[in-house]
Amino acid sequence: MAFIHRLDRLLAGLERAAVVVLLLSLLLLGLLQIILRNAFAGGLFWADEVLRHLVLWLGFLGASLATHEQRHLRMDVLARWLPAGAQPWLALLINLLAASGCMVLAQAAWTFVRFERESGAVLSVGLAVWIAQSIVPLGFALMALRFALGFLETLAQLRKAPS
Amino acid sequence: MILLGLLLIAMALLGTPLFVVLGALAWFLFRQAEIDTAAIMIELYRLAQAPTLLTIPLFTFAGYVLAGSQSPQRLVRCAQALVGWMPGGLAVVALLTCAFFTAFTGASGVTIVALGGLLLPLLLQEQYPERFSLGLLTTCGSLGLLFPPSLPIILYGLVAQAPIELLFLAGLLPGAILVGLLSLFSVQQARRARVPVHRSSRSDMRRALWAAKWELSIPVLVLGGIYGGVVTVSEAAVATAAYSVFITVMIHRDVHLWRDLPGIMTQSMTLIGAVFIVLGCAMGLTSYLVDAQVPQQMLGLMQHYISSRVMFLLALNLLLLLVGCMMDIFSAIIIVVPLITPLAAQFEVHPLHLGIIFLTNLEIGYSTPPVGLNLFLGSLRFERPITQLYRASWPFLIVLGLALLLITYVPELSLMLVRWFGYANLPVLPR
Repeated sequence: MAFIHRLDRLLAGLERAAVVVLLLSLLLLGLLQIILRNAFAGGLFWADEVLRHLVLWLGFLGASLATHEQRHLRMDVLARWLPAGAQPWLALLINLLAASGCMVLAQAAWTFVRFERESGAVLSVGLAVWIAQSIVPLGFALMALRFALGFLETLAQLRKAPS
Repeated sequence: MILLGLLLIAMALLGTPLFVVLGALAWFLFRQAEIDTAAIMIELYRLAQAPTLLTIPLFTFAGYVLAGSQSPQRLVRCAQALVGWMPGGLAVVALLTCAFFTAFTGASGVTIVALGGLLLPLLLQEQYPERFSLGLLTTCGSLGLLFPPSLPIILYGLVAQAPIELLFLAGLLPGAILVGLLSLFSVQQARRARVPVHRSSRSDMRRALWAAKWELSIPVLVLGGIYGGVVTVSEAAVATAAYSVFITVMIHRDVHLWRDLPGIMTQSMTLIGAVFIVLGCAMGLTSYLVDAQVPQQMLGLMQHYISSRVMFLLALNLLLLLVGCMMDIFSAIIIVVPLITPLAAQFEVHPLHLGIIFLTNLEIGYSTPPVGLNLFLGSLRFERPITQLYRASWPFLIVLGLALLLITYVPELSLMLVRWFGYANLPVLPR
């Protein structure tokens, strides 16, 4: 279990660092673009595309962090009424479902990226489109991993304290 | 098929993350229709190509930066000097500052956390009744949703494909009505409770205004920049984010560049990630539902029961209040809006007006018992049992309900400014 925790924390650390770097780049590139557009009536022709992909990466890294911190949007109307004893079982079920859901979505995203790779499209900044999109399957895979870790952790808790 | 649907709904109600439910549903439906499930990702990626998408993380980041600095204190001090002399002045202060912060942080709970803890002791110290103060701050937690550049407005614009700068305009008057009615109610309550009144001199006011000039200039810059035609909405978002970092890090120096800022960045992006993933997964589902003509079928079904515009609006209000107390505003917008827009067009409800009705309803849903989010946040923040907050917030809910009726049945409130700015001949459906 300690190993799982370390892995989870290491991943979260990397994601946080990436979020900070990407958000800073988004801000700086956006500012540069405003200045160029207003002061020199020009602008970098590749910037808008890059900005949009930065947002895509920020979104998926943020979603992965939201999994880590259990801050995903959910309804918990019914869960509040369940007795405390049932809560860990519910968590087990939800983690399992979420992990498998993310897994099939990651697979769908992988197919999507593979199509794009075969088409050989390239962003105007020179980066292959499929690399810019690779965060989609990667993000879903990271979330699947997180939910699977959550599942194992709840399982361990249940075994430690049989009710 | 129906069994699967019921199962997924049950899982959603039990607290499965909504994006998983939506994604899984889309996945099954596409497989059923023998379409490659990669289609979900095509829709998700198409959403990511929307040029206004980047306004969401940037405005939210700006709001989190301000909330993490001493800006709440400065704004409260400023508002107190300006309106503190009125009976009920401090309550109005609370309303105004909460509205300001919610506009930037998008009712993600930051308002109650950042301002509630600051304002409650102040209100109690000034001898406002405890019940009134708790109710006020709880309902304030989502006030200001209708003011630009709030995250739910932008999200509505994205999902309903309505122009964001027009939605911003449409929200101004209805937002002012919400704040205005609540202010009147607060003043009346404060009079009844004989809350002591303060004096503040002209020079106090000037000094307080001057001290908060940096924060106060943000809405002026955003609105002026957009409607003066200087910048686009996206550029305004970049500028606002950069400006809030600049004033908190360089001028006030209450956010530390590398001790505080990275934390604020990751916190705000965690919220954004949670919203975006629901949005992305819902896009796939929506495209399936539209292809399968589900909204049209709903329309056919509804026409049996609902014949007039007034009845449609009433049913919409009830439905949205129900949705608003079941799920958070972001998911509600993402899931319900695509289904409702075709129906609303049929009953000739203007898309901008529809957006304002949506947001007002969901704003009220935030404080509606038994499960409104504000009630839980307030109960945590103020360390009171949630049932006490139920009792405290209902008078405010009645006032908000009145405002909702006004906003719903007087479309001019939402459309007047839009017309006045010369966007008169909007098509009813912007698609």
